[in-house]
Amino acid sequence: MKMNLYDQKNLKEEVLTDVVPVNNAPEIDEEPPKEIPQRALDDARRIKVLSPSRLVAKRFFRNKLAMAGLVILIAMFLLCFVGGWVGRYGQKEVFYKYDNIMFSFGTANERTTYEGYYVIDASEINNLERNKLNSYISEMRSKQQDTRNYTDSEGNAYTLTKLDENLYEYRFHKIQKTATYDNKIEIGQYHENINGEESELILDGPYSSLITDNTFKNLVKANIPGRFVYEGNTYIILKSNKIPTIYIAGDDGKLIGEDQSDGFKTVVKNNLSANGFTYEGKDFIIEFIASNGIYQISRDYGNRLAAYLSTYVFDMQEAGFLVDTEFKTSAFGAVYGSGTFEWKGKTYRIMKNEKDIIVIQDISNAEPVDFANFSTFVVRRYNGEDTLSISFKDQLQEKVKDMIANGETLSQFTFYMQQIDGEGNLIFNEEGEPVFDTSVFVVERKLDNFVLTNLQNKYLINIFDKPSSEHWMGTDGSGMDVFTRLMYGGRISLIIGFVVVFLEVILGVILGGIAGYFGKWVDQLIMRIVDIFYCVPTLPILIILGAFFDSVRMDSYMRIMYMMIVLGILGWPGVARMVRGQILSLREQEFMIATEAAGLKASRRIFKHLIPNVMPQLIVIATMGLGGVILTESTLSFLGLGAKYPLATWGAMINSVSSSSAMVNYTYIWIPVGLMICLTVIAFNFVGDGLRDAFDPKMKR
Amino acid sequence: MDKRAMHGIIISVQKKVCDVRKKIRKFASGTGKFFKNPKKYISDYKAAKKAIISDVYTPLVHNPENLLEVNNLKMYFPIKAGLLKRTVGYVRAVDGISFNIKKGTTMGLVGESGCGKTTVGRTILRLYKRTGGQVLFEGRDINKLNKKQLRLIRPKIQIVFQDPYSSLSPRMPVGEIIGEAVREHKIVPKAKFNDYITKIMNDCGLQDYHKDRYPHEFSGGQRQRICIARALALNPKFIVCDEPVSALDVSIQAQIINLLKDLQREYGLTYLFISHDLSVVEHISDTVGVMYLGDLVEYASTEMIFHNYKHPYTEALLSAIPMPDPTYKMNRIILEGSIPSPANPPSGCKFHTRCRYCMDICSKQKPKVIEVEPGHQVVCHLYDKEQLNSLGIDPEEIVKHEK
Repeated sequence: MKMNLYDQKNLKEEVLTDVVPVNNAPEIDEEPPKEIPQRALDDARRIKVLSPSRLVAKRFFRNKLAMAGLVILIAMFLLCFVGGWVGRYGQKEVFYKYDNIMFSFGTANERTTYEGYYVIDASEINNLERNKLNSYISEMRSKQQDTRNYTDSEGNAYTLTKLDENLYEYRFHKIQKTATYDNKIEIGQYHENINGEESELILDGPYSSLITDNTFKNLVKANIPGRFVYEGNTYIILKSNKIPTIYIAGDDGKLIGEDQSDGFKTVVKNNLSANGFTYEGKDFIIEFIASNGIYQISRDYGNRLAAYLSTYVFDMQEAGFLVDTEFKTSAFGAVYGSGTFEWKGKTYRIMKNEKDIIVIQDISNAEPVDFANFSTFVVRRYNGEDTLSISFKDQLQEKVKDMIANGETLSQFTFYMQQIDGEGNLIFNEEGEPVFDTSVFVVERKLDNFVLTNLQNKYLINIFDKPSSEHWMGTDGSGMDVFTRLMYGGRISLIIGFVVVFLEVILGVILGGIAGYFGKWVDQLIMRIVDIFYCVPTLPILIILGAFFDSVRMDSYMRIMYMMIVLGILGWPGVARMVRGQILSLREQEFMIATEAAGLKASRRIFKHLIPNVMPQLIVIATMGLGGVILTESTLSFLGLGAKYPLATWGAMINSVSSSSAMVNYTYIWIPVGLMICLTVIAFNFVGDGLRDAFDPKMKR
Repeated sequence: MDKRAMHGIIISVQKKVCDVRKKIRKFASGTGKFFKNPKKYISDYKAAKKAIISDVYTPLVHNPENLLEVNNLKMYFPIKAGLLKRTVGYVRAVDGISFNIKKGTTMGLVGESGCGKTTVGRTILRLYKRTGGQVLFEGRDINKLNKKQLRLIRPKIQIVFQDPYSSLSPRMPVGEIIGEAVREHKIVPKAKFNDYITKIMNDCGLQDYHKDRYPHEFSGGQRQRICIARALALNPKFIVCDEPVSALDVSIQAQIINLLKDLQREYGLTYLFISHDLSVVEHISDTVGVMYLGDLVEYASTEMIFHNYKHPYTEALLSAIPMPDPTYKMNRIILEGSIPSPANPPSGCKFHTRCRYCMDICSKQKPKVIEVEPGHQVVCHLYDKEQLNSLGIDPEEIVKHEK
């Protein structure tokens, strides 16, 4: 206790000693300012002065909804105008990718058409004849003929001979017209009455003795037209101009042709009555043509092998090894010939193996090597390169046989094959060895064709890609980046909105202002025009215009320009009506009468007094109208009447996925776009509402 | 059905048919007339219109003492009806009134609401196109000026409106409202413009810093000051004060009235003071005109009007002035009925329907303007002694009898 007391005492003393008497009043060093500007409570200077526009701004910024709208709009503008500029990709940039897809690999079928394998000097056979060959063969098959002979218009003779079901021989007997020989001399005419009773011969002097010769007369009568030999002379009768003319064959005639040598002529003269002759080792055919009485001389080239027609193809043991036509024709020739043939210094022989397949073996070396197989089963790759191995072909053929036997239309088999890149080149690993890969082939029967598809690595347009780090909103049906197009599309939508509203407001204010200010008949006239414009149905007009723009193939940008003008022209009546109403009411206000009393000019009265007072309503109607115009533009683009592909607008982007399946599957394309449209329109409406409330002085906070 | 009832119905139907027939005939005859002779029809129509608006007056000879002379001024507003907006009648807002205002004086114009006081003020300013009569301002007929001349004369005649709230453009700062027309008419050189506006504002009791403010920041009294400043800034000679204080409370009224008086002294202004507040008019005016239904019924100096009134309407009007003395027994004359329509005014003396001294002649003949004393004009049959004598009526008796 003592201690405590002591302590307390001490403490008290300490406290007391510590306490320094303090004057709480602040020490005044400076004198108070002598003149404090005194203001009364109601002095207007105490109140912060705000101009009407600042008051509006203040009220507007206090409106949370309007501010939200403003923020959305600013964000939208930044996204569309700055975003498109900063963005990595272009509006029309198409993206590609490598991907494994089931892709057509090739087709396989049992060959039924015969392909011609022409020997080297058979090129003289014209294409017309070549094309007919398959139909001739099918005709032969249906009639079960083994040979068929025919000639063409030039006198060439052809022979088709069946060697076996799959192999036909085609021979060609070529006859070429080389010259004509004309030796006839006119000696008279043979007049014949219509009755035919009193026929009459009129002959030149030396032959006049023949006129009365009845035997001659009868011969003439029998050979119209034609030729006959009478008393060692050859006579030729031609029927021209209804009156038969009588010629006598002269000793010397006129030879027209390539070879006009006397030797050839003599041979021709000597063989006029024969069918043919041989001159300098060449065979010729001579022929009298009764219709014009001259001799036709043709060269006979003889009967030669032209081609083999076959359904066989050669399956090379070494995949990709190419043989020429010479090899093929020689091989075909050897099948029913000697059995061996030579090609490029090597000897080959033809034989049938145990599976009854015709095999070509290389017997140049001691050990015969299988070189190629005959086959009627054709496998063709779509990329045109025949690099398929026999083992693949065998496997496929077995599969196809199974399918035909089982009546399947769809089947598949697995094959180990070398990997091929997108350009068709073989892929090798680092050690230079080919890379093998199991590949599943799907075989699908389409009539007689068997279509092969397998998984292939291809360079593809990246369509409808899911959102990723590269494409934030994926890609659309044309492989373009949706996010980029969203930004560019917004640009166009917003620009259209602003330009259209600007046009509307300009037109509306001018016409509405004139109507309201001048009144009377001017007002009546303009208001009737407004009524007419109100009656005009907007959508049908725009549809017609869209069709018109399509038909003249208008440029996308021009199209947008015209659309803006048309929308502006169709939209001004609303603004005009509003402005006119406002001005009508303002005109009767006392401050307008005061301006008249003050003698102000009309222009000043309109622009300084009327327009500023209409401005609030104008701003509100314009802001509200912006949303509407953007919506209209989107609608038009959605209907395909607005901006055209590849120009991006929001409506067009939704249009690109407008089919029901696309809408369900590619939501990541249209949902962001739809949201953008919604947000913009809502934001414009919020801002418009906010402005209207802010401009309304009666509105309380 | 009863035969009688049947008969009645038939008769009523017949009557209706007759009515319709008459209407059709009337219409047909009208159109027939038009198609028979369109020129005559139109000239007839114009003549009929002229007969309604008889613009007949003896032209005034300008007296240099007078700043404003009004002679037989008429302002009829057409009543339009029907699909083609044809004029079917006229509202005779001002029906031929004449008065003069001397330089530097104030004329008060009193009357009931709707008697045409404001129309007179505005017609003088040519804010309405007058129907008939003359308005001479400094000897020039205002209605005969062309647009350019009118624009030049505008600053000299100004107007202060009744409602200070609607007479100022809400989107303009006060300095601009006052100075706009000054700049337009180049009343002062550009260098002196600011000082001039400041001076005018100070004269009207406004401060320099009010220039940048907008009308909505001011009270009614201040606004009326702005209106006065706007009128005054154009350096006018004549101001029409169209009920400038009726929208204000009494203390402000006094301020404004005194301001007007001060300005009149300072600038030598002439006022036409339109009001229905008689005490204010008494305070400010030198002469007073009393209007009833578009007519000026009595016109005299203030003293004569308030202490030696003649017209029964003036009597009734003045009896309604409240007295600030509770012991005073008010002898109010209450007028019967309401004011007749100016579109269809009563025949003869327009006041006869409500006049307590009404005689037979009042409803039949229009009274003449009678100068009972020098400078005291009355329009009433009671003071037309010649006519009353000829009719054998003693006006004193009638007045006494009524009292």
